[in-house]
Amino acid sequence: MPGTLKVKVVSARGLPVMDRSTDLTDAFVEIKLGPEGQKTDVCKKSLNPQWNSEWFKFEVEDEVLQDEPLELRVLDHDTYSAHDAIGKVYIDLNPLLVKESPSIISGWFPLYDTMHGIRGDLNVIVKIDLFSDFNKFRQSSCGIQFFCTPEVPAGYRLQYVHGFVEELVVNDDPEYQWIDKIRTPRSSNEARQRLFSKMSGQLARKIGLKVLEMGGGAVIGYQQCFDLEGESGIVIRGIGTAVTLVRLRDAQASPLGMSPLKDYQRSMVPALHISTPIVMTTNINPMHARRSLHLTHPHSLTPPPHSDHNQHSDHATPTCHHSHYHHPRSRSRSTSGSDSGPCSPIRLSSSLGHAPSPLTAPPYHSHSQQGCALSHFAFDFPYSSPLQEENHVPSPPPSKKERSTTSPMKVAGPTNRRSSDSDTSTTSKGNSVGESSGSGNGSVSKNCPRMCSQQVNIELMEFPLFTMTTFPPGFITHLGGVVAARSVKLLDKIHNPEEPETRDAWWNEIRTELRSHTRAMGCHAVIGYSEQTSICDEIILLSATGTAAKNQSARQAPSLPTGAGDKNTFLIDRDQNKKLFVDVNLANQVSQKLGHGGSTDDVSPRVNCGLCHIPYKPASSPFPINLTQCSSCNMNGLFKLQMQFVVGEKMLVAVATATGAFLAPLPSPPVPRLLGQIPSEEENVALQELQLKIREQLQQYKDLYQLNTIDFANQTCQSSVHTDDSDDDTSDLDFSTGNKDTFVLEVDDTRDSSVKAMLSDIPQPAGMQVCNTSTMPGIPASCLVANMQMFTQVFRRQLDSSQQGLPKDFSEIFDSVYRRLYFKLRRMIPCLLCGLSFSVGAPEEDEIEIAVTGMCVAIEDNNSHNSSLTETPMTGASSKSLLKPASSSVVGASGENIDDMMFTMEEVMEGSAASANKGFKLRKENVKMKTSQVFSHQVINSIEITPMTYVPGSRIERYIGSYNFFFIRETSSLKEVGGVCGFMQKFITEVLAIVRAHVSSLGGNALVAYNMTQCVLLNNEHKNQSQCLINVCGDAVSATKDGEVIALVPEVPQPHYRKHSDSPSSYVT
Amino acid sequence: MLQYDSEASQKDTALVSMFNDKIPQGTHLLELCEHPEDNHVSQLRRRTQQSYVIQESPENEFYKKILTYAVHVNKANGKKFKNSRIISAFYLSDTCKFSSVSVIDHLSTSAAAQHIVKSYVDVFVGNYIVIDFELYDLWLNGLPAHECAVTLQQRGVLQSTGARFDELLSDTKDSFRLYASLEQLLKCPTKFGNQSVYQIDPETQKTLIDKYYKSDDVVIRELLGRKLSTRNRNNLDDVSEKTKVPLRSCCRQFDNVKRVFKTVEEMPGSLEKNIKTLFCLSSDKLAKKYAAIVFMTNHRFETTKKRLSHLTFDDFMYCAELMITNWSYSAAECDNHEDMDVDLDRSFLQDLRELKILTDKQHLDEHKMYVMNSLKTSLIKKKHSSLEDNYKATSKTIISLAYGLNHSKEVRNFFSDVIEEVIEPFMNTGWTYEDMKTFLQMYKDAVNILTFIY
Repeated sequence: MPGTLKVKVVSARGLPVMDRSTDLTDAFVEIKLGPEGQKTDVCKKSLNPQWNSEWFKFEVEDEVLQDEPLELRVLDHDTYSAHDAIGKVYIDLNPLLVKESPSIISGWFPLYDTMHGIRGDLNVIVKIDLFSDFNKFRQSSCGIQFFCTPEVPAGYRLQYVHGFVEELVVNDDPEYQWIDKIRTPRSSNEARQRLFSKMSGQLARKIGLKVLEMGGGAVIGYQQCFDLEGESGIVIRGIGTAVTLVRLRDAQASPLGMSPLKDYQRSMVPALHISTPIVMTTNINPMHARRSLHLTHPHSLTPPPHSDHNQHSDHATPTCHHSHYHHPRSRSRSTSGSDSGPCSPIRLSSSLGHAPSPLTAPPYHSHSQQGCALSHFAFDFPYSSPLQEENHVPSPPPSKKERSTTSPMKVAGPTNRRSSDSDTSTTSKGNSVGESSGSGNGSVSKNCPRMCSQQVNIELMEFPLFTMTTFPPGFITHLGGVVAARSVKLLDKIHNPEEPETRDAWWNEIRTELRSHTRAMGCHAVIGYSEQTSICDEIILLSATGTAAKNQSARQAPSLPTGAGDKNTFLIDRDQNKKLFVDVNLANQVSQKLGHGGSTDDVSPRVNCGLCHIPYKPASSPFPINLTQCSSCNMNGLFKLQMQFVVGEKMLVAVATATGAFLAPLPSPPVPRLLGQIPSEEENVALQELQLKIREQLQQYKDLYQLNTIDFANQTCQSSVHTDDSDDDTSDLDFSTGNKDTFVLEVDDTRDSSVKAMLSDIPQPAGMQVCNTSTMPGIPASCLVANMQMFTQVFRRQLDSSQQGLPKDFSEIFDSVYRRLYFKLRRMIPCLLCGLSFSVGAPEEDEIEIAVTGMCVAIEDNNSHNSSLTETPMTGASSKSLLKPASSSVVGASGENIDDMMFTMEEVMEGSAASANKGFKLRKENVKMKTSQVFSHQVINSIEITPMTYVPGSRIERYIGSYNFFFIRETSSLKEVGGVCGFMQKFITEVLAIVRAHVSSLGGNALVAYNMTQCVLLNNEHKNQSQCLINVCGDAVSATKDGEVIALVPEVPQPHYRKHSDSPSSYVT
Repeated sequence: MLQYDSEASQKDTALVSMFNDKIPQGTHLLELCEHPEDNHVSQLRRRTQQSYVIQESPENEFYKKILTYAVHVNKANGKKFKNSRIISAFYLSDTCKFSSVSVIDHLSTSAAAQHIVKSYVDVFVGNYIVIDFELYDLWLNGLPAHECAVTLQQRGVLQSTGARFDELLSDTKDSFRLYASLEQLLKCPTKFGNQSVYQIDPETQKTLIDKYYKSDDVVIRELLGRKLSTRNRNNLDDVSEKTKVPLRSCCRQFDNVKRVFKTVEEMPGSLEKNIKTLFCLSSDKLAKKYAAIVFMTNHRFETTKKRLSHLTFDDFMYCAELMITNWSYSAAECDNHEDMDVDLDRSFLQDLRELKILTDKQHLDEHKMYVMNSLKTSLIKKKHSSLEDNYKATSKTIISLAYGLNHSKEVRNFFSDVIEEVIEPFMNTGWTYEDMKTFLQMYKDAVNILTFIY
């Protein structure tokens, strides 16, 4: 028996009255783990019963502990009839199975009933005693940590990336079984909830097993999705990145939660890891990218500083051995860095330890050479310290010698990264690609551009998928562009629905396709990878997106496959490191969409149908980068592009959200051009007008963001743009017609105002910034003071079903969602709405549902911040021109007098060198601060919930466990609870309450990387019934406010809470 | 069913004239809201009247016209609010655009309400509970969401934010739903400490409770001494009409009083302290107020007589406070503190019986002599002599009032008796407050000396 679970039921409070005659309740608790159950005594006639029970013990295998949630059910004892259910508590035991996590769960858990919501709380204490088990063939994977956070968790150092892990579990949906016809809604819901919980546990266990096989110790960027396929069952999918993490002794986490690596840490692990050689490849201008060849040189530390020529001249001179990309502002700094040997920490641009690379290395060629080496993904991360690196950058030769990749999870030994033989024992066998039958051998030589299913495994090997979105500095050297793959399948065509094979095959296809796109872009990895489905009746739309990137490991291969496919490479902003999908390729997206439109057989004027995969046809004819949306506001970069496709009964909806940014090194985008079939002169005129309008709009945006006047200021701004598409939408980029220009909008019907509607966002109110990234590019993290409000907004509306009005109506709905948000949060100004995430659904024929989650973060009054900055000459080294001193604080204006002030700010954050050299100006709106209304959020013992990976104003001390739960709520008295709105509001409130309770019971005080992955509302107004399913996930953490003394014992959020016996020193694995 | 989409207010005349032809006689115009309570027909009727009064802003001209029209139709018909036909008007945007105006034939109100609810889901939920207290006050006043939004619009909320009416309304409805669910906790504020559903900071929580239990003196004045029965609750219409406080607000205050009363009625210990702790009230004043109300209600003091109508709630509260501190079980002289604050001290009442002795001729004269002698300096001659003439009657009245406190029926009429038999005769002779005070003081002191001698 590898584990003993001990449960103590202490008491309950606030129970509902179950006995009308006495107005009291005779409560008892049933404790269940899997099939085994025990119960407490009945506590008679009390609404606040005290049991103070003995320890209930369950001796179980650790698989059970992983799979099954602990189930506590409070019932009202009834002598004559059946006991009445009061509520349930499900406790996920996984956090207790991880070594460094709390050894106890204790606290008040809301008693949740699927029919009545929360009814009272239950106080329980749960412990697990684990016995060591050396059974090699065990099925459990205890000890693997899961992080929803798509980056290296604060307080950890990334040691290895082992690769992509995925798993898929299929089960029958109890809702569709015959038994559902005869049982009560409550037991049906509970059966379903239990199943979801169990499946999720199984999934995590199986993924954990894979990670163990690969030698990893944790999964980061873990995403879990449920597909409710209806008749064919429930599918639960999990993807993540297997890594080996090392706990830092002193978690000096930066407020942004980036991996903070301190100098002294290095001394503790002496000389094993030396700063990774990273080649900073030239940031190739999209225009010149195709032809420019990229060269790397082994001794790039010594090339003469080429500080004077601009980037274009860099490309123009291939004789230059190593070309740094420089921001105009930063040049002096970074070059001085490379002059003096230790390079500037952020732009580690040395290619230490590289074998001399061939001058031109086409990607395919390189693969065939490096097939073996590439077939495992144990990228090591010796030191990715953001700042203090320079002290330790040694001379190149020793670094090469001493670099080794010891992982505590594996047998420690100096395994040179490039010598694959030493690693094959662990990696090639347990390679991320669990789905591929054959193991990855070196037979990569037949890398043909077209993909074929036999090559799945090879593709998978070569092009790792990372679910992470933020990487240690230096990991990524190039960004290719967005890659996406989609596929439409029919659920009723699955041969045996109970087995996961078919779905596995589907996803393999998609991943393979995605990888081929990646290769076509000349990249070797996909970062920020995510998967999505949309189901409508029998049609399932699978989609996967990511950003193609080159990473350091590819770089280490002797041959550097760069150049050819790089259409536009971006310098990733190392400091921010939050940015994701750079560059949209809308053209692709749209053309793919067309394919799908065809295959949903209702409408198929443009029948690409049957062909579900439209390959990226890229490598041969590199296509233009279309930044269609943002070009209207003169932005030339999009970060964290999120695309969602939804299949509805009558329509197909596509939504893209991104944060636009103007990156100075990139050329300004031209004004979008309109194209269309112009049959008549009259229409031509109309088209011209439209074009004019767009131009005007562009000018407006330019004014707004002040891009006119300042050419070099690296202005960033947000704009979240939504594209909508329905089966009759007309604004498609017809890419295949040979339109090679950028920024083209094709208009079929000039009367269609959707183009214009799409291109305009409603302006955000003064003092409020919006972005869907985790931090706003251009606002230093130190300005983000505190979380004010995490919000969830659910909006469902009927669409105007007329063909003409549809697109317009759609953008109007988005507008009103935005307006609502702005209005709701108006009192929190100045603030930043970040982590905004939209999820769109088409629940009914003419209905559209939008669920938005996001975070409202307080921005510190910039005046004080600025003045302090301008006074301190700390940034003087960089050749930055302060545009205007921050002295102009406008006082007492009425709010209408918007006084645009130009602020150039230095980011004070450490590790922000890259951004320090780009000036950004913050448009400072003069908003009257209503101090009386400033929301005081300092709730005592409050639990934060945030979709971001950090808690502003606080430092994450430790991660306690991930939380993932599926809630079902149903009501048969909809009218009484205040209609659907009342029902939904209550439900979401309750879900948040339960999440908070679980976080606090683990000893945490915040949940980061919160995500509402699913929100399905089924509504039957006539029967007065409603049902809603919500799936939430996140990482429970304990965070300390900045300035607080780091106590050895973490802060205990509730007085009755357990004592923490574990001291931080025990966290080091 | 008639559907009409109007673009702007210019068309309103056309619309009304069109209605003129189509609307059958006896049409009843109602605005329907999502709030479940609004399904009650009588409340709807009230709402219609109120809407008519409130919608004064120029933007609402159109709306007003329709209402006027409907009222006109009803009046012309001679049937007041016949519940057979309903026009439901959905007022959706601030630019006075009616998205749809429909006339629904023979629909029950709930069915009509459903017709509206169906439209969409629109909720906003945050991790923290943030209360917009401006809105909260309006909610406490019992305004329905739509009117509230209109009020806020008139206050210029939209101008400063640049939002549309749509957002305002949505925000209002959203907040109202939240308040409605918080109301469960507010009814028993101690539950706030034990709940985990809402994450509210203590400051907000305190303000929420205090505002919820805040009451209008005019309304409470009407409730004083009444039996807190359901029948009385249903008659709050009159109170609302008289005090100009919205009915919903009156109901809330009535319920608050009733709840507080029911909770502390049987509870030993200090009335004020009980109320303060059980209802988490932060201000002593509020607790005192409720203590007075509970005390008055418990003894069912008659306060509605015409003679008492000039008295405000503060007057009664003053009296009640004195009674609690001096006559009840918590009085300083009372040595038996086990019983409840709400009741008068029985031994004190027993003692009052003994005052009867003062009505004896011998004691009366003696008492009179002492009083009159000590008043000689402080009273002007005219008043002095008039007192001297009426002394016997006056003293007898006072004594019998005190004696009567032993009988609950007379306790009930205490205030009116005091006014009628003591205060009014004195006032007729032109006595001032000061005069009265000195007289009663002397009257009391003299008894002490008297008793001492006796």
